[in-house]
Formats: sequence, structure tokens, C-alpha cells
Amino acid sequence: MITTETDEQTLSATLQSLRSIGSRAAAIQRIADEVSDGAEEQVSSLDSALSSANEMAASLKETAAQAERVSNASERTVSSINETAAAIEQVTANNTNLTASISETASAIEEISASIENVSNSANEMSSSATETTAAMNEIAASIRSVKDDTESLSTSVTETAAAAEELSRSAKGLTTNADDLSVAAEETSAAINEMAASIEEVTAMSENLAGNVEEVASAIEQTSRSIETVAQNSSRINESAVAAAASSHEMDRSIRSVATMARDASDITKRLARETEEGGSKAQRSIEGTSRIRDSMQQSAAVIKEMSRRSNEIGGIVDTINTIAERTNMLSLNASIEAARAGDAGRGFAVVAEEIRNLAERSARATADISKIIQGLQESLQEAVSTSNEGVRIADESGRLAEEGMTGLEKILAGVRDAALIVDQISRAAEEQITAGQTVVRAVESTAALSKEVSAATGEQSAAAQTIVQSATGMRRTTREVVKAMNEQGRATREIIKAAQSTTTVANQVRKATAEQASSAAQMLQAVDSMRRGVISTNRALVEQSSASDQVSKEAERLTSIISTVTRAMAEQATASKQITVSVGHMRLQSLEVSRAMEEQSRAMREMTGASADVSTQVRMITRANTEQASASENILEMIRGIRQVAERNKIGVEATLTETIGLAADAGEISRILEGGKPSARRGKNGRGRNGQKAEKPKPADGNAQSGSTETGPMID
Amino acid sequence: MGQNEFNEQFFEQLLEDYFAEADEHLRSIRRHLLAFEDSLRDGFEADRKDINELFRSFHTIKGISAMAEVSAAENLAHHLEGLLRSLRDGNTGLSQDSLEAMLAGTRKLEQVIASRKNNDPIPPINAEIERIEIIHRSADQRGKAEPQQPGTPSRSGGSIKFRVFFEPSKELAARDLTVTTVRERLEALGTIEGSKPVIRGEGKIAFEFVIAVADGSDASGFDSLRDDGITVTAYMEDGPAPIDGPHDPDLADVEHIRPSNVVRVDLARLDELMLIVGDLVISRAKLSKKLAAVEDLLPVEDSRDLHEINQSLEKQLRNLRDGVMRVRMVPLAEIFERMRFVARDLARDSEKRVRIDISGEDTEIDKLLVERMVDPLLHLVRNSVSHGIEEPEDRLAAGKPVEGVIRLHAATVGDSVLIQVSDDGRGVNIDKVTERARDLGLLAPVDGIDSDLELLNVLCSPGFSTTLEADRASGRGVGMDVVKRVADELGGSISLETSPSSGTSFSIRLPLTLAITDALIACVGEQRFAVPQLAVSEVIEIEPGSIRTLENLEVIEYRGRALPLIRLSRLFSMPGDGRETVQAFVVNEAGGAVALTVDRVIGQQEIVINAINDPLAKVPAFSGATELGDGQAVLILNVSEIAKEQRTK
Amino acid sequence: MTLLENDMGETFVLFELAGTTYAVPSADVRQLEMIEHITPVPNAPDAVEGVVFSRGQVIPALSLRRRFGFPKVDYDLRSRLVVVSVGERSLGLIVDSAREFKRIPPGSISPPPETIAETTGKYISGIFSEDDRLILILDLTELIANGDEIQTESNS
Repeated sequence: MITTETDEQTLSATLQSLRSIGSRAAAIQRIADEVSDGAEEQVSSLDSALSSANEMAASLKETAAQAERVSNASERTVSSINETAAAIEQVTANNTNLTASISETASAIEEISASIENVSNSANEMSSSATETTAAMNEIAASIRSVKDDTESLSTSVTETAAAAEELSRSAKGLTTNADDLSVAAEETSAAINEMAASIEEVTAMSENLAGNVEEVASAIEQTSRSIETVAQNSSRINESAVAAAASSHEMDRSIRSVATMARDASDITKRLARETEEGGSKAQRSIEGTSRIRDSMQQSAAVIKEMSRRSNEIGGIVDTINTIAERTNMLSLNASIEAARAGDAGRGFAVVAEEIRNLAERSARATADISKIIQGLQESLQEAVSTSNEGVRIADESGRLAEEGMTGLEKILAGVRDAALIVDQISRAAEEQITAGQTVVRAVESTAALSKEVSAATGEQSAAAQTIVQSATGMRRTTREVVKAMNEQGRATREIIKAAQSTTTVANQVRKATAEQASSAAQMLQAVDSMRRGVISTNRALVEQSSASDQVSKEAERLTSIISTVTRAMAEQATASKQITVSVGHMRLQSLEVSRAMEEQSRAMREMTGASADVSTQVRMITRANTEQASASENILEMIRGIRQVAERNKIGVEATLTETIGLAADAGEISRILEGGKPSARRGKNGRGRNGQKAEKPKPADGNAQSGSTETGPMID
Repeated sequence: MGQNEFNEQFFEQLLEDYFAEADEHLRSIRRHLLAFEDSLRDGFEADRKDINELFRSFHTIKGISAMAEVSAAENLAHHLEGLLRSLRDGNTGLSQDSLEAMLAGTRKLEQVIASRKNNDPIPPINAEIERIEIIHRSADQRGKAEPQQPGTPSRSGGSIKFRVFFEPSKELAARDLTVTTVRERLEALGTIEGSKPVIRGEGKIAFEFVIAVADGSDASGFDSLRDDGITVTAYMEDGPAPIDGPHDPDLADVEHIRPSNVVRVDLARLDELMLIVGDLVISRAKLSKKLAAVEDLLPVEDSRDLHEINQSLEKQLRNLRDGVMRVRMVPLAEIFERMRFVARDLARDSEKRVRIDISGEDTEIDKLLVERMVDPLLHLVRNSVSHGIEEPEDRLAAGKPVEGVIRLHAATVGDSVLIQVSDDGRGVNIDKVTERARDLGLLAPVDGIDSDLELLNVLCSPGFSTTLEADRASGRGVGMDVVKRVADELGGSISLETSPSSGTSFSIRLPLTLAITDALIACVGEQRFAVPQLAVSEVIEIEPGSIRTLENLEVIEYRGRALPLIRLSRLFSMPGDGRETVQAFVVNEAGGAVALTVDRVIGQQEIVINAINDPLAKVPAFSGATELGDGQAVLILNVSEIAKEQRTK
Repeated sequence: MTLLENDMGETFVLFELAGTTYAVPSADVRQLEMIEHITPVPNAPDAVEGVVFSRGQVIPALSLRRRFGFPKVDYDLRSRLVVVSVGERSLGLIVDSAREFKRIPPGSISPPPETIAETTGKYISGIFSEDDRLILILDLTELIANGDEIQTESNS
């Protein structure tokens, strides 16, 4: 066991070291115990992780199932939306925005899903990484165990060597055998250490892988984080537009309300108008009645006047007749006179008669002339009266007609007003319905806004979670880097250990030589033992470091696990969120349906929504698929975790083995010391599970990263 | 009514009857005298029949003139009767002298009766009587002419019958001439076939016997009876009892005038009858109108019945109208005969030989017209004789037959009667007329007479006459102006054609008065007019667009030719009623067809044509007036005159 | 034999025309008629108002107002158609009124004075003065004869 740094010192100090090996080994033992405990804890935490993962898997399954259901439901919704899409008309900018936001939400969901997928993938990878890590851890544990075993072995060997050395020092003879043994042991140790180194290399590689994976995860997480950011932004935007939509829908609501108000006002006005019209109508009716009464009385008086006029005309006619008769009489009498004159004497008597008739006719004519004058005057005044009353009747008729026209007009107005009132009522009701619908829209929009807020919040949470994840990822990165570093160191350490082991072998050879050279070699042997001790110490230190490293790794694994859990939770939350979103989308859809029922022009939005929901459906299907994948991924994680657990187990076993070995080594070292100190090799064998009978601690085969459930050996290797 | 009045009326009636009857007989006399003239000219003996009839006519005139107390006529007639008796008895033959005497006597007789009719002074008759007496006396010298000769007895079947008339009187009784003794004497002579008492005026009774005496037996017994104052006349087989009125006891034999189937009707009554018919036509038209108005209100059967009744009424009225018109119508033959008389008279006074040819004498015109036309026709005939027919030498020199011919022709042309008086004389001397016209100031010195129309106008100008003094023939100085005036007053027209070679022809066209004809009633402006349907060839409707104007003359296209348009509204200076589409009467006039536009034709009706006689209202465009049932006068358009006038514009 | 004249004079029918009283011998008057409808005769002389039916005869109706140059007035109940017979002719004279039948002693008719002779002059055959009025005796023959002149003048 020659360490690079303290080859010589180690040789010289081997003996010294050998002594302290024992104590160190004890310490190692204690530490290994602790490590073992830690590993157990690790295992248990992995168990819990496993169970969590199981739960997650279960929940994922459920999610998947739910997603399935949702998918079905969304299918149905899609079809029902399709059915109702036709009925939806009116698109407000807000609803468009709503649609847009829904689309955006959908696309956000898509992205989320994508990111979930990514995350899932990452989680997968993480899981696989975790698994690997677990495997690695297991291996580490195993290796640590084996190291521990080896260390224990070494310790034992050292102790034995020491004892042997002591024995050697006592008896060089036995030394060779011890040295052989030692050599063998060293070889074995070396081999083991090689193996360990190899496994550590592997682990390193794995942890490098892990680191790379973690990098990837981290970047994926960052991506997720970014996408989540985007989603957050989108959801902010959605939120904004939802707010705007809310505002617009408020406006719309306001406008609807105002329309409703106006409609109500109009309704009031028309009702009032109808009332007034009715009043007017009744007034008109009264006025018509009044006018017609006037007209009647005018007509009556007109009739009377006409009667009088007629009578006076009759009298006038009679007077005319009398006049005519008088004239005719005069003329006939004149004709008679003419004929009488022609007849000469014979006609004389007749002439006298004719003359008398003429006189009478003249008197009659004069009298009728007087009457005529009177009649004329009467007729004139009657004529005036007639025309006046005619005028009056005409006016009354006119006003009556006007009033009736007015009445008719009023009735028309009334009918029109009633119609208008009905229409206005309808408008009002429609406005009210609109209001309700508007309110529904508002509510929908508000809920959309709220939802989008939630989404926003969720995405915010996501974001935060993502941030956390990022941070964790960053931490993880750091951690893994440290792990890598540690691994590297471990590797170096292991290489040193190997070297040491080689040195040990060499030393052992040398010890042989030395023992062959007994005398002078004892010191060498002691040195050798010392170096062995140192080596052991180093190993212990390395172990310690290793332990702490594996501790760290364990912690990291824990953290990983927790991170995974977190991620899983986040995913679950995401899933939930997406479920919520889906639900919200469903709600929105429903509400959109409602809105579309209330409003009309949303078909396009609905169609988009249909598309969106189809997309969602698709998404859901994808989610389902993702979930399924997640489920399988989680299965993988489970496996990985199991693997990790196994590794952890093995690790624990390894640690325990190492512990055992270390104890053995310590014993050996003690022996060697004793030997070196001129003591006889103690018969203490097999106490730490080691004996010369080659009953070695079972070296766990280097973990190849795969869980070998069967090969987990715990137990009695470590006393 | 008092007896005086009754008497007066009776006498009035008597006189009227007298004039009518005398007229008849005079006509007959004239006819027969003219026949005598022909016989004489031709060298024949006078016809027995004519002689007898002439005799009878004079005899009758004598009788009725006595009754009417126109003694001059009675006297003349008596002498003429005697002359005829001589003729009849063969005591005198027909000679120029006797004929002249008869003609002269007849003329004077006419004048006497006419004077009595007109209440003019009765002209002296001495000359004519003298003339007759001369003939008579010569006749007496020629033979023993018994003043009273029995007429030719009637022979029948071997015996001759006589009618013996015995009026008992105191003187006769004193001479033992009583009914009984007369009877005994008669029984001695022959067989008394019948006897009857005859009541004479003033309570006297006479007796009439019909006695048959064997042919060839001595008729001297009758002479003795006659000597005793008993009238014995030949007895005619047929015929009823003697005519009314007192018989002249001196009448030797009077052959009864064949009782006539003629009823004398006062023209006034005919006028009245015509008026009544006219009124009936109007009333029927009114009825027709009213029927049309109420037709729709009646049940179909009733309206149909009424319609039929109306139709038959129309037909019956038409017949009545035609009948009455025929009653009024008298043939122109009468006045033509009179013309012949006159012409012969005139010609005799000069050396001219004139013959009167009469044609269309059966053409009838209204009695009213006839009376009015006598004078104008007389004048025309006289003119022809006096101025138209040349002296025989001149005629021969002109290559014309020696005897001048005056033709009297009458014919109905459309709604008028055309009377022509033409001669084949020398024509009217246009130069002389022109000269005279210028002298009278009727023509400007530079103007000439360029057409027959103008000539006529000049000739008819009042005061125009080529001979200043009225010769005997011109009677009261009837000038051509009177001819024209009468023609005008009767609603007629005159025209003239004359040439030196063919003579002169005057035509008088008289519308038939009181004609009833179918007419179309049309409106022009506010006034209705009637158009005789016969005058219209077609009623057409004129769209305003179809009127074309050529040189201020409007024409339309009608049956492929251009028809001139005369707007009556314009012609009558009336406002048209402003309608675009008008109706028109297509009138075929001698110069071509013309369309006279009216506002519209409002109906078709039978109308009574009343002549517009007064010159104040006479317008060539109107041929008369009618009444459509409402008492208002409606003018009747003379469409051919209007067309002619427009054409000559 | 007419017995129109006796010692008291001839009888006349008096009529009014534009405020003046005229007289025509009653023997010349066939009868008086009311003015009913006068059918205008286009292209007849101006003074000829138209034609009427009178006793079944178509006679011209002469407007004396127009004839004498007085303005035309509307007909009324008092307007008369004086149907006169002159020789063979009958015609109607349209006058404002005709209500009087008067016997005028022939000796009281004086010849028309020069002044009147100018205007309606030729138609007046004499004047009769009575109380407050002058009655102008019309010469119908002249009136109608001059009517012929009117015809010729207007038809030329």
C-alpha cells in the first residue's frame, strides 16, 4: 500500500499506521455503520420514493384514466360542441379574445403538455438517472460496502498484517505466509479496489452521465421553466386578454345593460305613449262626440233653415207662378182684345170682358209684386242663413271628419305604439336576456379571467416550481459536479487505493522480500504495515470521503428523489393543473356553450374551440399517452429506484463488507502490529468474519448498474 | 144663336160652296172649250159629249149663281147655256165666232165670280152677252131655233123616257092645269112609270112624273105641255135625284150631273188636319223618347209590347200623314189647263201661232202652292207669248216651225216639285235687258250680264219690266220680281236658261210643304240641327290626327280619296265644344263629295218639315225648321246647298 | 168687311221698348206670345234673333232692340213676342213688354217730328201724345220692308 503522497512515509509509517488502523478501522466501522444506516435510510427513502413513485404511477394511471375519461368526455363535448357550434353566432372581440386565449390556453396546455412530456421525459431520464444513480448508489454502496468490506478486510488484513507483521516480526516465517496472505489479500483488495475503482469509475462515469443527464434534465427543466414562463406569460396574456375580455364583456355587459336600460326606457316611453295615446284617443273620442253633437245640432238647424228656405222658395215659386199667370192672363186678355177688335161690333162685349180681365190681372200682378219683394228679402236672408249654416255644418263636418281622422290616426298611433311597446318589450326582454347572457359572458369571461389567473398562478407556481426545479437542477448540477468531483476524487482516491493496493502488493512482495530479509525487513514490514495502515487510513479517509461522498451522493440521491418527487408532484400538479385547465377549458367550453346559447355569434369561436377542444382532445390523448408513457416512465423510475435501492442495498452491503473488511484489516493491522511488535499472530480470526481459511467476505460483484435483486446480500457479512 | 146669325153663317157657307162648285165647273168648261178649239182647228165637229157637258156646266153655274145671288154670273151663264143649247140642237155649228164668244163669255164669267169672291166690283158683262147674242141671232137666222128645246131624250129599249115636272100655281090652275089634268094628258101621251111629289121651298109642292113614250112617237104633245109651263125633260136612266138647291123651272132639260164621289173640303180644314198630323208625329216622337227612357224599368214583355205598339203607331201615322198629304195635293193639270187657255187667248190677240204642250200634269203639289203659283205661272206664260214666241215670219226666217210651242212641264225631283215653262222662241234679249238695267241703275255702266243667273237676278229686280205699260195680258202688272218673290215665299227657287235659238226656259222649284222625312239630329255648338237622311250618304267619325290641311282647306282621307272638310261650327260662327273627335256627314253633291263636321250626331227622328218663308229668316244653308217634341224650332240643314256654296267659294 | 174703326178710333197694341212706348195697329197683330225658346239662325241678319214656331208656322223673331240699336237685355216674364201679319208675311217682334190695348182717335195722331225721323225715323208713322208719355206709332210695312234691306245687306 503505497500512497502517492506518502509512499515512503507510508512504509515507514506503516507500522505506525497499522496500529492506528485498528482504531481507524473501528472508526471506519462506526462510520460504515453510519453509512450503512444512511444507506438504509437511503434505501428506505428510496422505498418511500418508490412508493411515491408508485403512487405517482397510480395517480398517473388515474390521471391517464381520467385523461381517458376526459378524452372521452372531450370527445363527447367536441361532438356536442359541433352540434351547438352551428347555433352560435355573435363573436365579441372579447370572445374572440376568449377564443384566442382559449386557443392560447390550449396551446399553452399543449406546451405544458409538451413540457410535461419533456418533464416527463426528463423525469424519465431523471428517473433513469435516478435509477442509475440509485444503481450507482447501490454500486457505490456496494462498492463502499465492498470498500468497506475491503476496508474492513483491509483493516482486518492490516490488522492481520500488523498482527502478522508482528508475528512476522516475531516470526518472519509466518510472515511470508502472512505476506502471502497479505499479498493475496492485497491482491484481492487490489482486485476489489480495482473493481471498486472500476465501479467507481463506472459510478463516476455514471455520475458523469448523471451529470450529463442532470444537465439535460436541468436544461430540460430550464426549458420547462422557460416554457412555463411562456405559459406563465401566455397565461398572463390570457389573463390580460381575459381581463380585457372581462373588461369588454363588462363593457358589453354595460352596453347590453344600457341597451336594456334604453329598451326599458323605450318600453316605458312606449307604454307611456300608449297610455297617452289612449288618453288622447278617449279625448278625441269625446271631442268627436262633442263635434258630432255640434254637427247634429248644426245639421238640425241647417235642416230647419233649409226647410224654411224651401218653403220660401215654394212661396217664391208660387209667387212666380202667380206672376206668370198674371202675365199670361194679361197677354191672353190682350190677344182676346185683338181678336175682339178684329171681330168688330160682334167682339165688343168680349173686348170689355178682356179689359176687365186685364185689369184684374194687373191688380194681381201688383199684389204679387209686393209679395215677391217680401219673399225676395226673406229668401236673401234665408240664403244667408242657409249658407252660414251650410258653412257651419261644413265646418262641423270638417272637424268631425278631422276628429275622426284624428281618431283613426290616434288609433293607428295607438296600435303602432302598442306594437312598438310589444317590440320594445321584446327588445327589453331580449336585452334582459342579453344582460343575463352578457352576465353569463361576463361571468364566463371573468371565470376565464379567473381561470386564466389560476392558470397564470398555476403556471406561476409551475414557474416557481420550475424555478425550484431549476434551482434544484442547478444544485443538482453542482451536486453532481461535486459528485463527479467526488467521484473523480474517489476515482483518484481509488486509483490511489489501487496504487496503494498495488503498493500493497508490492509492499507485500516487498514485505515478503522483507520478511525474507527478516531482520531488516520488519521495520520495512512495519513500515509496510504502517503504510498499510496509512493506506487504510487513507482508505478510511477515502472511505470517509467516499462515505461522505456517498453520503452526499446519497443526499443527492435523496434530493434527487425529492426532486423527482417534486417534479412528480409538479407534474402531478401540472397534470392537475392541466386537468384543471382541461376542466376549466371544459368549463369554458360549457360556458362558451352557454354564452353561445345566450349570444349568437360565436360559432367561429366555437369552431375554433371545437378545433381547440379537438386539439385538447388530442392533447388529452397525448396527455393520456404521455401519462401512459409517464406511467411507464414511472414504472421505469420505479425500476430505477428499485435499481437504486438495490444499489443502495448493495452499497449498504458493500459498506458493510467494507466495514467488515476494515475490521478485518484493522485486526490484521493489529496482528501485523503485534507481529511487528514481536508478538505472535493472534488467533483472532474470523471474528470479523474473516479467517485464513480464505473465507473472505463475499465481494459483491461490481454492480453493472442493473438491479440484481437477487444478488443483494446483506446480512451476515457484516458482523 | 139668333136667326140672323144663323142665316149669316148659312149664307157664308153657301157662298163658299158656290165658289168651289163654280170653280169646278169652270175648269170643266175650260177644258171643253179647249177641246172645241182643237176640234175646230183640226176641222172636226165639236164632240157631242163636250157640248153636252159644257151645256150642263153652264146650266149649273147659272143655277148656283142664282142661289148665290150673283146675278151677273147667272146672267152670263144663262146666255152661254143658251148658246150651247143652240149648238147642241144643231142650230148653230161650232165656229170660230161661236167659240170666241164662248171663250169671252167664260172669261168674263170667271172674272165675275172672282170679283164676287174678292168682294171687288163686278165687271160689266154686256159685251160678252152682246157677243153671244150676235151668235145666237145668227143661229136663229140660220134656223128656227126654238129658245127652249127639249134636250135629247133618253132612249131605252124602244121607248123614250121623259121627266115631267109640274109645279102647280094659281095661274096654271086657272088654265086648268092641275095635277090631275096634267096627269091625264100625260097618260094620253105615254106610260107613267113613276111619279112623286117634290117639296119646293116656301111650302110649295111640285110633282114629278116619269113617262115612257114609244120611240118615234110624236113628241108634240109635250110641246103643248111645255107651252103650258110644264117642264119636260129627258129622263136619264142612272143617277140619283136631282141636286140640292132650287131648280130653274125654265130649264128645258138638264142632264143631271153625275153625282160626284168628290167631297169638297175647305183647305183650311186640310191645313188644320195637317197640323194635327204634325202634332201627332211630334207626340209620337215624344212617346218614343219616353218609352226608350222607361224601357229598362219595365218587365221585358211589357216593354216589348209597348215597343210594338209604338212601331205600329209610327206606321199608321205615316200612312195617315201620307194620306192627308195626298188629300192636300192637287195635280198641276188644272193650272196647266188654265195656262193653255190663257196662252191661246194671248196668241189670238196677236198674230202668233202658239201651241201649249203639257207634260207631267199629274204631278201633284200642295193645294196651297197651287193657288200661289197661278199668278207667277200666268206671268211666265204671258211673257213667253208676248216676248218669247216670235211672229210667224220671224220664226220661219229662223227656220222654226210657224207654230210656237210653249211647254209646261212638271215633275217631282227629290223633295221638290219642278215646274218648267219653256218656249222655243227668241230667247231673252240680253242686250236690251242690260241696257234697261243700266238705265234703271241696276247695273253699273261697265258691268255686263255674264250668266243666266245674273240675267235672272236682273230680270227679277223689282221694277224691272221691258215694257213699261202693262198690256192687257199682263193683268195687274205682274213683274218677274213677283215670280221670284212668290217662289221665295214658298221656299222655292227659280232659274233661267235662254238662248236665241232654243228659246227661254224658266224653272220654278218648290219644296214640298209639310213634308215629313227621316232626319239625323246633330249638335253643333249648343244648338241642334236636323239633316234629312236622304241627303246624307254616310256618317263618319273623324280623328283629329287624320285631318290634313292643304292651302287653308282641311281634308281627310275617305275611301281612298281626299274629302274636303267643312266645319259647320265655323260656318255658323259658333264655338265648337272643343272636342277632338268630331263626326261628319258625307254629302254627295254635284261637284263631288264633302264632309260637313258636327260635334256629334245625337239621334235619328222623323221630322215635320216646316218651310221658313219669311225672307228675314231665310238662309240658304237651311231648308226649313222642325220641332223635335219640345216646342223649340230646330233648323234643317240644306246640306247640298251648303256643300255647293262652299265649293264655289 | 172689317169693323176696326169707329168714331173712337183705331185700336192699337202698345208695347215698351227701352223705356219708350210704341203702338202697332191691333189689326196687324195676330197674337202676343211669351218668349220661350228662340232658335238662332246662323248667318241671318243681326237683328233676327232667330225663328220660332207660332201657330204651326216658322216665323222669324226680330229683336226690335237690336233693330233700333238699343243694347240687348235678358228676357223676363214681361218680354213678349208680338206676332204681326203684314200681307202674306208673319213675323214676331221681340219687345220688352206689351200690356196695353188702346183705342186712339185717328185725329190725335200727329206726324213724326223731324228729330225722331232721323233715328228710328222711317219706322214711325205717327205720334200720339198722352198725359205724360209719347206713344210712337210704328209703320210695320216699313219696318219689315227695311228688314229686307237688312237681309240683302248682310247677305251680300
